[in-house]
Amino acid sequence: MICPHCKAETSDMMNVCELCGEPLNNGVSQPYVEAAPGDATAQVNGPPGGAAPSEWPPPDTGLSTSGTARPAGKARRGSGAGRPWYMSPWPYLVGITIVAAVAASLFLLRPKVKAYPDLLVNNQPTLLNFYTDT
Amino acid sequence: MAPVVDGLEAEYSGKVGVRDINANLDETAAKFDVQAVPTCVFLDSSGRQIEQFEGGDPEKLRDGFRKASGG
Repeated sequence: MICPHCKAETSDMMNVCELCGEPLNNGVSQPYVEAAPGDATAQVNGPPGGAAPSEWPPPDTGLSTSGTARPAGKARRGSGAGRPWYMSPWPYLVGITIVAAVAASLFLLRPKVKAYPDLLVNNQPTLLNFYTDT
Repeated sequence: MAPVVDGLEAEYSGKVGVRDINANLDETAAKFDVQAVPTCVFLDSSGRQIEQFEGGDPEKLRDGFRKASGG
């Protein structure tokens, strides 16, 4: 297929021109007729064996045929101001600080087990047998 | 209960000691929040409490001696 915009040969399977991005007419070959010098009657013919000249060109499909039809992306920002958050060290530092604070608080607030080494018998495990004489 | 404790004390001699404490006379009872007698408290070799229960259930006593001795 020949692109009507840049006249470049492109694949029949493509909807847009591989070179200039111009939309093609969805698989309908665009005729390319070179007018002979001085030939004022040269006109566009339909596809070979296809629609009659009165049906050509095909109805407007709503696709732009002028200029390049590339979507306008976001404007590039200046370096630094638009960096994503994960490129900055601060989120990681804050996270590490929070984790460290939680770990430290858990360590400091852990239940303290009292020890009574003075109640041991010969520094060995001991049974304290509480009794009453009444 | 005394015969059971005496038997276990002999069985675990050199491994687990026994200290008899009069709950009415010794402030140690308050440290362990002793509410009834008999109450048994087992301490490990560092003096940390490893078990406490009320009553003189022989099975609990034997289990306490076994735990205290590390067996």
